[in-house]
Amino acid sequence: MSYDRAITVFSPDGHLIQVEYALEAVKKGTTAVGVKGKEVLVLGVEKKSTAKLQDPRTVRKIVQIDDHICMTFAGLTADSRILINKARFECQSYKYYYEDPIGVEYITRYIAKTQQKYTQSVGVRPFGVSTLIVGYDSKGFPKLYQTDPSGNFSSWKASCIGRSEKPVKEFLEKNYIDEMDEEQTVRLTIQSLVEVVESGEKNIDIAIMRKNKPIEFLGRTRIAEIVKEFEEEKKRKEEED
Amino acid sequence: MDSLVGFVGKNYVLMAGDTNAGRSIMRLKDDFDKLVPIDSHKILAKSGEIGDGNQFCNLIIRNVSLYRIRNETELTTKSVAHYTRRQLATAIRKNPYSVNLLLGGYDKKDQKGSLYYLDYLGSSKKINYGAQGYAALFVGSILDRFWNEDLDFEDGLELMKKCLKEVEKRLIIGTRCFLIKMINSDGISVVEKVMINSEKKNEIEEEN
Repeated sequence: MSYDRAITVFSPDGHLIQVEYALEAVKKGTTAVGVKGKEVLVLGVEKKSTAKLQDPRTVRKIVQIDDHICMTFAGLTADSRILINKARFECQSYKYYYEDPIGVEYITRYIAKTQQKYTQSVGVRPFGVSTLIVGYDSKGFPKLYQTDPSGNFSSWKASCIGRSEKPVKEFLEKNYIDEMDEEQTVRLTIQSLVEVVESGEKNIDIAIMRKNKPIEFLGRTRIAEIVKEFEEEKKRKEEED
Repeated sequence: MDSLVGFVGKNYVLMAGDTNAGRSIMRLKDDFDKLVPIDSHKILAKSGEIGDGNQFCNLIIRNVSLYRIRNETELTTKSVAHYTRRQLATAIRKNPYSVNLLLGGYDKKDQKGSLYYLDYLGSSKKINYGAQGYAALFVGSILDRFWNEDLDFEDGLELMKKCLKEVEKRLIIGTRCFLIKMINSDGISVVEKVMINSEKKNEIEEEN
């Protein structure tokens, strides 16, 4: 039997080893967090520390797919570029045919379908990328979706992908409350990242997606303010103990 | 049957199109908007086959949007004109689009408006003033005479109405109703929907 016809084949115990390796690649990527509030969506990413001579502005992990949909990813950046490009094209294509803006679930399903295709095709390897997709559905509710290299996708209230997935998810599970307002959602996102990002708030990017408004990237000073408030709270708690 | 007029003024572009959509002798629609916004600061005025116009403009709008999402910046009017011309030029010998266009846009970078004349054969020219359709036969001389590059908005609107009045007077098919739009630094705005009444009718009334 020649095993070089397709790269993704079943192992004897029913696993797709290549897909699981792809998930390992995702676990090596920088952390990305998504949190859904009552009427707001917040994405937070740990930025890869740039070399001294590198221009940090060219490394953008939170991208716009359409006017009303944003996404971020964890894993191989170059692979994500392909997915992002395909998604952007699909959004415009949808609008071309149907005149309506694309739905969040629709584009998520499209991205997930693309990722799955590459697990069942000849001569290709799976995408080493998990994505977090945020946007508002046709009824106006905020939605957060996650896809992974296997082509699975699901909706989340809050999720995390990348290298600090476990501790951040535990933190979110402990501290997430339903129907948070914008301030609380932003704080929760920042807090969850600050715990795990080594280099501190300079390497965090926060993006806020409000209904019918363009995406807003939180400024450096505001993030620094919020982080400072956490640290002071922490100190106070330690002093009380 | 379509009449489109456009010219560049001081810090704005004024465009007008008749609002008739017809088929042979029948007027199907009298509130048809032929001035389609491509993005926040550009209008594509379409004339010719209605179906082709719809499809083609849709194509341009979607590709301009895709560029904006991909590159996080808007295309200049010049770039859109060139892109549009390229689409028309490649189509003419394969599956032609029977559309003649006027592309008007305002570029924030240069703080200037510009107007392009494009036709279905794939020709394109940057113009200061011009028209498509039957209007071109009548308004060319008026604009030659009265247009200058320092027209402020009120004078520009007056000049546009002068052109549209001439079209209504001389074109045997009654166009009557025109939609005037303006593009400036704030974006696209509908200036007026004008109903032009021919002077001749007034003369007859006076005689009686």
